[in-house]
Amino acid sequence: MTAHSRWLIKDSDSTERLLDKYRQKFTLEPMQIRHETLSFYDDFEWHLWHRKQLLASNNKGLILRVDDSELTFFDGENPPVFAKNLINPTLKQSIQKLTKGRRLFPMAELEVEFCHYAVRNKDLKKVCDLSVTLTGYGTMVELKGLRGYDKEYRRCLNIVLHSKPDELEHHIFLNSLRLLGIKPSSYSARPHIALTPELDSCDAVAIIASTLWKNVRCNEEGIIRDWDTGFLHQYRVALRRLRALFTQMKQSIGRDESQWFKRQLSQVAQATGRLRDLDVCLASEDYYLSLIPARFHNGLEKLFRDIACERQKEQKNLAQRLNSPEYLSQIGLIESHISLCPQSPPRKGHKAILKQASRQIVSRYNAISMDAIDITGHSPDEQVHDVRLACKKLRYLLEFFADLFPKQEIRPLLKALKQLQNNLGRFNDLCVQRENLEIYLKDRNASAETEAAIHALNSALYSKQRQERAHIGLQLEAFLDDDIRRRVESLIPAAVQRKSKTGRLSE
Amino acid sequence: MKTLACYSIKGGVGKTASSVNLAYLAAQAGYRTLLIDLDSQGASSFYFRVRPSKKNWGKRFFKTYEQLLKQIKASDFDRLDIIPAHESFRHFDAMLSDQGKREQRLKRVLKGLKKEYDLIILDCPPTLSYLSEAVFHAVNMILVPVIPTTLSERTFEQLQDFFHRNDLPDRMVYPFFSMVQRQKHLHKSTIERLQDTTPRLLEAQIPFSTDIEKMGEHRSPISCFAPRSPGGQAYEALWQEIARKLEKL
Repeated sequence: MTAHSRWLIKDSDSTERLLDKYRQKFTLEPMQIRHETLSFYDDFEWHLWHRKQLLASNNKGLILRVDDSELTFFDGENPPVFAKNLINPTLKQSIQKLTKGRRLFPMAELEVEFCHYAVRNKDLKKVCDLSVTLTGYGTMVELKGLRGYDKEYRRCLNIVLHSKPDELEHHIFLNSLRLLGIKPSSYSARPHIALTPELDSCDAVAIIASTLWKNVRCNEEGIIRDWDTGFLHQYRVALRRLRALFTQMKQSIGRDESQWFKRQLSQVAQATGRLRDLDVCLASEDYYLSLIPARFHNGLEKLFRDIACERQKEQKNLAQRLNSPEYLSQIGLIESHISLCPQSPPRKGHKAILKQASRQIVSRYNAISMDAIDITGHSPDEQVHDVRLACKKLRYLLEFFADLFPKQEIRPLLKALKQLQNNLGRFNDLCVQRENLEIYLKDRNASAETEAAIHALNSALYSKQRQERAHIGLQLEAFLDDDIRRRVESLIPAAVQRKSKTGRLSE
Repeated sequence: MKTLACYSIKGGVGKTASSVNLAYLAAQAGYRTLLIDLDSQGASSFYFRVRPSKKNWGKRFFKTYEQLLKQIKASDFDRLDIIPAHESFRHFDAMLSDQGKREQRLKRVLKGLKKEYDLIILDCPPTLSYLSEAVFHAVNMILVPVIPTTLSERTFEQLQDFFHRNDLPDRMVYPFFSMVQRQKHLHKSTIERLQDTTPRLLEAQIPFSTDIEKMGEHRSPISCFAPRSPGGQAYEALWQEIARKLEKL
């Protein structure tokens, strides 16, 4: 390991004095001095920023990445829009993973000067690398030692330390952006909802609802402008969660109010279903092509071209709808109901949320247990889908109320549930995609080539679907085992815990 | 990790220039490269401006690879490190003569470096000695610069004889022409004659060039300060040829 350190110097005079001191003791050879205007990019959820990573472009073919304070340059790259368009494979892969494929937006600009010097001894051999990065908000001095030149590194370090610099925990870019007032938006696809156990359950539902509603509204512009498919997905997820909240916590806000919200939210979501299906299908293109022999590729590509066209039309329709007065008035209505919620809470609405939530979670777990008993290798697919929906409801409940329970109990539960859901989700996706392919064949006058490709793909998907189906039994068993059951049981406050004769958890 | 040696019984044939340029080009091509200057004159180290340690560490050279790790110095170029020569290296023969399994000693210590390097290049002194024997056992490839003259040709034949006498695998020996002056009749005829009869003769030829001589002035590989010069291009061609062979090893 070679020695490495970085320091912050706040004013430019000190930097000049520092360089003069180096010149007195060593030969300082400027290796590179460049001035850049950097645009920094992040996605809508600020995934990069939250991981203390930065991605910048000089808009002239250079991309800079700060990863864990390490700065790397990538030449020949266009300003980033999607990580998938980056050329360098390592950069592409890691940014794609971090941003989850979401669109990158410019979020700030900085004027930066990079000066890289080789510090040379009297033989003019390089003994240390010295980088000075000036941003206008401070100067970062970075020293990198060279193998076998530890003494020289220490001498160089002493020169810096003599000027009494500040320690720099993060890269100067991050510091400078913070000083510039850049901070991430409060948006999160999974917002953290702070609830206290004693809170009235009706008030807790209202707090969660208003948080989720913000997510619905935040994503509208992205859908209208078609920035990326994540906006529609998250819009739909927020609506689905809201629906699940109102239906599952109906005892807290009252049946009528719950029904009203359910109806309204379903209507809002309904118009988005087709576009989401098309997005999912288009995202699977490469995967589908890999599933079938090359001779079918032409036919499948044709199908995807059709789907892409349909998607374009569907997106336009949805954008129009989201801009329409009807939609805006419906949204306004829901919004005012949410702000008034709960309007007339029933008696149970005034019970503590901890008690209500734990009962609901246990009840949902029991329902899954009962449904799962009947699932065998030959059960109809519809029965599996019912279990999937029940799991989804349980997952939402656990996420809404995670804060109320000990983390060590909730995390393993969520993990086990996630594994099961992944399996059930893949199974469902395959069913839906196969159905969509069948509908396409029925409704469209597909060419013989496309028809053959669809049949080939359908049989490949069928075999995948069977594979997923085969795992469901085991996954369900794992989810319903004694350990998980005990953990669910432990969520109920001691005072309300009692067991029935059947061994089912009390609700 | 691959190991190659630039070796010739004869001095002044271009071993050091070849070692220095090949090490530089290998590092530029992405190989994590270590150049070990085994010649106590320290010319390779000089070219890279690396001074030897003040300590007399030569006596510990063949003990463990950790001893070598302590002596590694970074060059000015990415991925290229150097173990500079020390004047105590001239006692290597005496040291090896006292040790059992002496021909395996170098191979053993170099093995310890395989996690850190993809390629090790040995710049060897012009002797036929215990050290050379240890080198022959340690490397995958022996590059022999041959000046197309009678004397140089003769020393190459002596090396081949040595390999045959000692049952050493001559398939690792790759000669190439060095310091070539095509205008000289002797050089031209020697090249023509040997080209047909010498197995594994590399195609690339290094010309006699003032630019290569200027390496001492620049204290840097020609491939760095004059890559487009005839000498620079010849080393590039030589490296490309060697890289292809290394990949097949």
